Amino acid sequence: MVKANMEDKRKLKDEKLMMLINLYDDREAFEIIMDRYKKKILNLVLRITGNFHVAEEISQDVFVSLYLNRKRYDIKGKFSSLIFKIAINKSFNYLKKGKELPLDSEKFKLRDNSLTPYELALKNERKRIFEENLQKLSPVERTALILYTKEGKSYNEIADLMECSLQSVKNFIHRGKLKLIKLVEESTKKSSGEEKNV
Amino acid sequence: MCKEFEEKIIEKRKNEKFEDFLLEHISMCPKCRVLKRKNEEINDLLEEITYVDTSKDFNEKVFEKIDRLENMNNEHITNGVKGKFLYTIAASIILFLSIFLAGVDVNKTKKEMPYSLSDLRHEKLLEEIEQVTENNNLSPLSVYDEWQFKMDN
Repeated sequence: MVKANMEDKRKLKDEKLMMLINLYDDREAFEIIMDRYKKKILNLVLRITGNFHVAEEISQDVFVSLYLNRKRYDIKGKFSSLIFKIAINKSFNYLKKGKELPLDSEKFKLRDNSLTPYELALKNERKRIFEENLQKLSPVERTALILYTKEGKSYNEIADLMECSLQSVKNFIHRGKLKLIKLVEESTKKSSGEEKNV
Repeated sequence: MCKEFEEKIIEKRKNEKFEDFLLEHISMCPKCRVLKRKNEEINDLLEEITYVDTSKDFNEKVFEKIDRLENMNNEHITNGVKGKFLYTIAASIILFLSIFLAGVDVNKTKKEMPYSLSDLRHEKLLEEIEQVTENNNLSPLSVYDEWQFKMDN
């Protein structure tokens, strides 16, 4: 059995932790993996599905399926790619069922104590506009955009994760950004127009 | 002409440097300058995306699901073994019964028939030999050999 304590295990790389899970069904190692990735996975799924409760349910299922399939884990592959791939597949499967729910904008609100209430309100409004418009992009466009800008993945990595060609990834990002620029601009104009009217 | 530059501008992530030729074009082209500014704004917003926290009992819920599914799988496997065991027993009983019945059947047919097929052939042969020897006054053995020779060919 594995003698290393929790602190020692925390220093291990994902792939080594996965080996412990694979060989010894080590739940401590699995918990470390979960702590490392749950936030990233939840937020990626949240951007794809748009609903917090759905995203949390799917994220839990991602880890469940990772653990249940631990014996099939291939050490040669990069672990982060594997877990992102599972999350993307599960999210798209959810969307395929046509269960898209309205955007959970409450979850995206900032709670920054360093800002004045006015600044915070302004920033939150800007953020709300952005999040709403991000949700108007197609699921593939917003997934590619999040992976590219927020997760810092390369075009090749995204193509591998989304199981599409390099050119498609380039198109998703290019089209997505242009759309987002246009949508944010329109919404900001609309919002400032409404303010003036008030 | 701007199309190529547009792609390059859009590709840029936050804090990524622009190449000299691109900077030169941007300084001359107002359209691309606006696009660059807007792209930077969007990059800022994308970078500013805050990560929402998972619920506090996230790990416990995952383990609960795992335990539930593993227990279900184990039950399924046990049921499977039980099922396979019963199926094997039933199949063996059917096999033994069919062999037993087939054996009884064969014996019955054997009893009903006076001779086997080889016996019948042998009897027919003897009749033929008798006929030949009676007509030609030959020794049965020579006729038998001749007949056998014909049959073999």
